[in-house]
Amino acid sequence: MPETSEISDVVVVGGGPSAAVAAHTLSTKGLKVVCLEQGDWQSPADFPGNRPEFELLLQQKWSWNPNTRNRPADYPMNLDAAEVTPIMFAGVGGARLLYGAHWMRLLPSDFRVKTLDGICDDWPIEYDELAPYYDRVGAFIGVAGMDGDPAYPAFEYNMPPHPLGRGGLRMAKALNTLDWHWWVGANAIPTARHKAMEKCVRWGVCETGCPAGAKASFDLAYWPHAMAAGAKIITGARASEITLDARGRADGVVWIDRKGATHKQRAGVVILAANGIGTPRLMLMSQSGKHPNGLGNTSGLVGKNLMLHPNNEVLGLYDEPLESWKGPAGQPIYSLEFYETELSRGFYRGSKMNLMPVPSILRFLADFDDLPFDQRWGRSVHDLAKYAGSVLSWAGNIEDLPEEHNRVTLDSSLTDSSGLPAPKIEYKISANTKKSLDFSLARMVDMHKAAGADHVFSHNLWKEAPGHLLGTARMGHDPERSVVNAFGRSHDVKNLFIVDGSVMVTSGAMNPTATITALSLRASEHILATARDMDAAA
Amino acid sequence: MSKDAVSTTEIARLRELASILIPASATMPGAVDIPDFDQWLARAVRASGYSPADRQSAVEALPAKLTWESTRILSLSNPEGFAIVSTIVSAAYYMTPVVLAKLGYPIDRKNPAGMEEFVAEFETGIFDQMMARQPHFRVVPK
Repeated sequence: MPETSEISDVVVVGGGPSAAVAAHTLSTKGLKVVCLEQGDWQSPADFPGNRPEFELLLQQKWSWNPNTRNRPADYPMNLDAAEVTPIMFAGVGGARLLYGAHWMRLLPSDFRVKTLDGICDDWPIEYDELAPYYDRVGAFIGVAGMDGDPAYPAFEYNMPPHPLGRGGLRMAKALNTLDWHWWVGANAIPTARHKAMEKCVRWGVCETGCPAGAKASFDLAYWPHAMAAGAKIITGARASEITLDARGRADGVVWIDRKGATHKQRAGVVILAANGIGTPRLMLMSQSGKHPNGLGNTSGLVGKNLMLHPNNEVLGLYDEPLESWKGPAGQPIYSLEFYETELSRGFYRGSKMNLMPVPSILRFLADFDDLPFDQRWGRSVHDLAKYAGSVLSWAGNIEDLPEEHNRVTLDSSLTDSSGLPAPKIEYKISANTKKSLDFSLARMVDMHKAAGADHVFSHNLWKEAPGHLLGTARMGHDPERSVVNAFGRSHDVKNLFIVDGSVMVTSGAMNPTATITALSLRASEHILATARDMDAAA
Repeated sequence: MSKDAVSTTEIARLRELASILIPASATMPGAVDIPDFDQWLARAVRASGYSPADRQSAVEALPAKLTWESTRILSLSNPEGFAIVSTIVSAAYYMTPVVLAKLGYPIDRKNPAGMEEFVAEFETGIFDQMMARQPHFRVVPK
């Protein structure tokens, strides 16, 4: 029998952004919140970006791929049938410790793909319903940007934008020439000191963790405030099962510590915030007589419709110093020119493109590895390395459509260090997404050529990116076609909620953290509003 | 010594390779001209994600007599092994302060922006074209 704990009002599984928002929202209203996080706290001083060897540290010790990193907190994944690796990081703050902090809202059309394009499903909510929550999370963490992007409905940023920098200016001129949309980057990276976060010092290594503590990773942006309000976070806690009481309501979460001891955190409400892989994994592991196919899985959709936002990239090397060692990275500019469906392109939906500076030297030199030996090495290497500091990256974040065969299941033989079944990822890039990848790649080449790049290198797929894990417990009104309702509440278990990217019906093409946290805030306030009626176990 | 530790023999061989792959130019130092380059090599080895077995195998595959031609042949005959050793050598070189400084990288990576930087960019008129656009997000029927 597991060791039992004092009962809490709420137990949250996961320690990333959506968990932090839920814990903060609920604890500030007096609820007793306990969070279970399998990873640890990370000190900004530990991140690799402040070391000259940071590019090598990304190969294994700080790899985005947990299978490569293989830390005690990581669980393995069977990726034999995955064309894209779902990257993640176990720790307080989650994978967003290592994100670029591109803070992008979805557009109104993203919530109505069925209505507008006749494909997929509409969300059970609209942009206008989520907009106030975007505003509030943005205000809390301090998002830097410039109002007035004509590609969006009007809203306000909370901090002045970052400078475009030499690279951003050069590219903005090029896009003006093409008359393609661009706007100064929206970054959850403070341009002034904000609460527990420092002002950005433009180190340029945002995606390997900010050494200056100047990025809205949620260990800094939200957790200190949640803990000040009374929320408790237990690290090294790997959730293994959601348990039910005799009446079929969730009554807690069983978890395993690093020494292998089993515990149970009892609670009146269970919130899952373990990302689009971890959440369905835990639900599928929580089988019982009443729920033989996993908890909350009457629809059979838990784990299905996995969307990963395949990314592509075009590097451009320029003939003038662009200070591309200077951050934030971050996005100096983004383009939504090719975001919406235009059927003449031969596919549905589109992509969000973002420009980023490239401080890494080995990364762009590797693009010259196909050169003959005498052009790659010897004194020739200095002719290539002269581009250091003059490298810009356009990356495309491709909208991924939901398909049930892209899914998370439990592997029959692979287990984690606690003996729990590992997730098996089956993910195939669809024909629609391939066309969108090809199209966006060609447009990003056009952008670099318009900006006058000396060399352009196209990468049609970043296999280990971007860590947008979406759609595996989708929301909807119909319990037969969705896992949770419009507030993230399980159709099957009324005091079980999901607040991570699993609930997204379609993926859009925006970096999803702004949407995930807005949904979490909305769901958490719904929990507060309906707590009396929840008929919870506690 | 741990079997995972980098040996002085390995470092010596990597240094020998570095002298061929990254010689001096008119403006850039050669790899072996870098002060304490052996220590930078060792640091690169420790940071890299190659398994000790793969790394040691790649080093052992280096020709006994390293010349430009024997290295070129190695790069063609054993591309996987060559990728490992050439990456370590390159990484060691490009992480050194003297090389980064020569390439124009600042030694102090902290460059906080002043508010006037964005203002100056804005005043160039670079935004005018986009700001003149009417809202063009797709309208959703209610």
